[in-house]
Amino acid sequence: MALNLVMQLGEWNPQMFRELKGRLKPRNILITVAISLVGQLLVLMSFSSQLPDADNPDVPYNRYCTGGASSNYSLPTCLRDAFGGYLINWQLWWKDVFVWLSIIGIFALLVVGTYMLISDLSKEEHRGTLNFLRLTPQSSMSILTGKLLGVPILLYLVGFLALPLHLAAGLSGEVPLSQILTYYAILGASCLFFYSVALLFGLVGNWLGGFQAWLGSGAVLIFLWGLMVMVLGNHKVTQYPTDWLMLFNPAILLPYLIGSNSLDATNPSYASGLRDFSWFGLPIGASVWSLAASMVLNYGLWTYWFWQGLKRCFHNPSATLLGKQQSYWLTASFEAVILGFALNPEIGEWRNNPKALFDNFQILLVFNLQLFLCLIAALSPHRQILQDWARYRHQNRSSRKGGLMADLIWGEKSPALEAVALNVTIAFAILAPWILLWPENQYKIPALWALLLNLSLIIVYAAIAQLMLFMKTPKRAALAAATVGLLVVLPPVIFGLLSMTPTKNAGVWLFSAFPWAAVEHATSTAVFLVIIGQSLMLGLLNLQLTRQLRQAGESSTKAMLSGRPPVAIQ
Amino acid sequence: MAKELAIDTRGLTKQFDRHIAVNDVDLQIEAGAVYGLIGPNGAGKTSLIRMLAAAEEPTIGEIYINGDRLLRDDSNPTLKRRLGYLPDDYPLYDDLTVWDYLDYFGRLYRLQEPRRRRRLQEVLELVQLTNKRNSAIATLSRGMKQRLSLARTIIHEPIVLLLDEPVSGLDPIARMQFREIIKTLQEAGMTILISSHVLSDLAELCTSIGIMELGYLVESASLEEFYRRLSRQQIFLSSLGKLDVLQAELKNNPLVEDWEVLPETGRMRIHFSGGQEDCATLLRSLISAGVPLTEFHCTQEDLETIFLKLGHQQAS
Repeated sequence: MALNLVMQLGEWNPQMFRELKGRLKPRNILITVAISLVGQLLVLMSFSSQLPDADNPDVPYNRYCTGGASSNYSLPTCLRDAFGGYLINWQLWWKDVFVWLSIIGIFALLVVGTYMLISDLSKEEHRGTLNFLRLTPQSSMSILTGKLLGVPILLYLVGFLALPLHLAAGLSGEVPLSQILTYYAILGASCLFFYSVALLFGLVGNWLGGFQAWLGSGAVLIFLWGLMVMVLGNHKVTQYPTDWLMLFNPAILLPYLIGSNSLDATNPSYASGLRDFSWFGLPIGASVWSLAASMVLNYGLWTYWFWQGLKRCFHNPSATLLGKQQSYWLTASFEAVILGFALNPEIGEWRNNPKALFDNFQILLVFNLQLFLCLIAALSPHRQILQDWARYRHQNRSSRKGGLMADLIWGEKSPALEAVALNVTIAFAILAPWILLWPENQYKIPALWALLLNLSLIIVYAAIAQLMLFMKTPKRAALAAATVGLLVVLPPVIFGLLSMTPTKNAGVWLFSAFPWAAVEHATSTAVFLVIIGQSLMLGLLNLQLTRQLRQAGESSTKAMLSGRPPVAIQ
Repeated sequence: MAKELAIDTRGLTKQFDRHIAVNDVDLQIEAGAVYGLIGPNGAGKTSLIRMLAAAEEPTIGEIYINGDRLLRDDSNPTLKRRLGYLPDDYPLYDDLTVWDYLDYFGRLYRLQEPRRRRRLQEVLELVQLTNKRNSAIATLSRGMKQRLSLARTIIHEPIVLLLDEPVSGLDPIARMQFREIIKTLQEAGMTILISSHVLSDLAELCTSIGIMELGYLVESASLEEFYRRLSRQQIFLSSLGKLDVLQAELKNNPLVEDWEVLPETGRMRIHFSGGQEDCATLLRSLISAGVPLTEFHCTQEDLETIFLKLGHQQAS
């Protein structure tokens, strides 16, 4: 029957069938089963070793004992039963096993799975076998779904074998079954999200070579680690926009499951902390259900956007990651999501605490900067596409429709500068009204200036990136990324080394990627001058880009007559 | 009435940076033809074939396969099932067996059971790999891998087959096997576009020939027309007697353009502008003049000679 099922699966998704066939070999399965069982055994053994030893009479306190808390250690005192053994709080013990199995599971599934997917895709892309798949009538969705389900199959097997123990630990720890199942659903959604990111990275990051898979899974590891520290240690929502990131960590659900405020089941302050988690004032942290629903929606939204990129890139690896039209919706949805976490809904309080609002706004601008750097990378076409666009635009019917401006805003192959500018405008249109709604205080005008400076700087970065991507060297993508990266990181580092603080030398900080740090200390004239300076810079960059595009668009005859080297058909 | 066109390109152009690899090519290939594409390295053959296979996007221009526009996206699954493309390198999956590999592609091309199993057997038989069906791909020889790739290319019974340098690196026996397979496929009604440097193979297989140079399609005609236009008739002669007598006789015939003595064999090659009748007349006149002929062999210049004679430039 199992065989029959696999055969049916093969009809439904040939790619998945192929991955299973290549991987489910007896030797691999045996090793996988061994790893899973030994791993579970190790977890159980390490937790058993923490139980008080019945033969050792000198154990006054232990986490799993049942007596009252001792004054010295805040650990329960150990009581003995009629037979001389210690009375054990088994519920707590099982809860701990449940939590640690969950955390190990999250790391194993997300980090190892990401590694497997990236390395598989980059290998196929490198060898050229992916091209044959592109030529088949299968949709990109079907091939990539097959990869997603099939490539980490041995990892899924490890997880599946650990499921009975995890479920038993949860139930013995008196976690309701419905909540455990919800947790599984969230874990599934998180896998879908991280694996989609991995697929996209595997497809487009081929220039990184063998380093690619390590980089991708390493980034996921660090990201998860950071988020885990947030949940483990700082068991309180910060009311900063950074709270949004917590929605990407499946472990945030665990405190609810074990009836605690953190991953420690004995943490008593259940009422506060995560419960304050809110978005546009909606109490999404109020219950496990509202939190789970928001996590699913959040994962769903971003998985959707990553799949838009995947669908475009799978069939045409040289295409830009996103279409221009898609990018406008992406920006709008991002700003809407992040703004909900920036509102700082210490309701009633925040009107009296303008500084907190300004802090939130500053953090939001950091997120904004990251979004736009990603958008610049996703929207800017490379040299070949730009050349084709400049040279053959007049022959291409679709781009002729509606004139140059329409082509720059909607077109597939046109330079990205105008599209980035429009995205920036969308961000401004969403964020500026929020600032205007702030109560009158000394931060309102600086905030508007900061927003303006931040956004205009982004357009300058977009122009620099687009110019760099027009370079002749094959390493143009890496160079563009490095240049823009340095432009973001280097100025603050230099200012720091020269002990130029935003408070003392506000003027220079306005030119950095973090003008908001200095804007409250700068005069309006200084800000105004910086904006003029940036506009001038943008004008120059734009002029250069237009000149280069025009030159690329010349016919070879014209180039020859004007004394430039003609099109090389040597 | 003109036959239906299997491949029809209009103004097809591919530009890499400032280098135009394929320049405004209008290629028309009739259904059922075997079209040989020849040209020096770097002439744009591979770029042209890649665009026809939808593996590369044209800079401008349009491609029609059996009258339907070919686009490089998700939108045309039926059109993709009509195309089979064998690139000059043929990466395979080493972790699969021959059968599993073909079965995988059969599924990708949506062949249903029991047709898929039947088709797999047919194809394996055609490429003579039936006895290797359970071997791992990693253990196959180069020729076998090449035949397996061809099997993958035709597993879904495409009606247009695009083969880029399919015989490069194969030994003479493998090449012969390959030619036989192509002939079988042509008999099955496939339209085949094949690029190759082995011109004798093409002369044997093709019904039409196209020559590419510096990105342009400079010649495109049926093989007969090609020969008629560009190939001169040659006659090889050997005589037991003195060559002077023979030469004196040849001078009398106005249809003999020139002659040369091939030093290594002592044979004589003459270029002859007459038809079959005139050949017979020449032979009769030589015999009646008492020339002791041991060989009189009418032939045409082969494809290779024509190609070299055209003096095409090599793109560097």
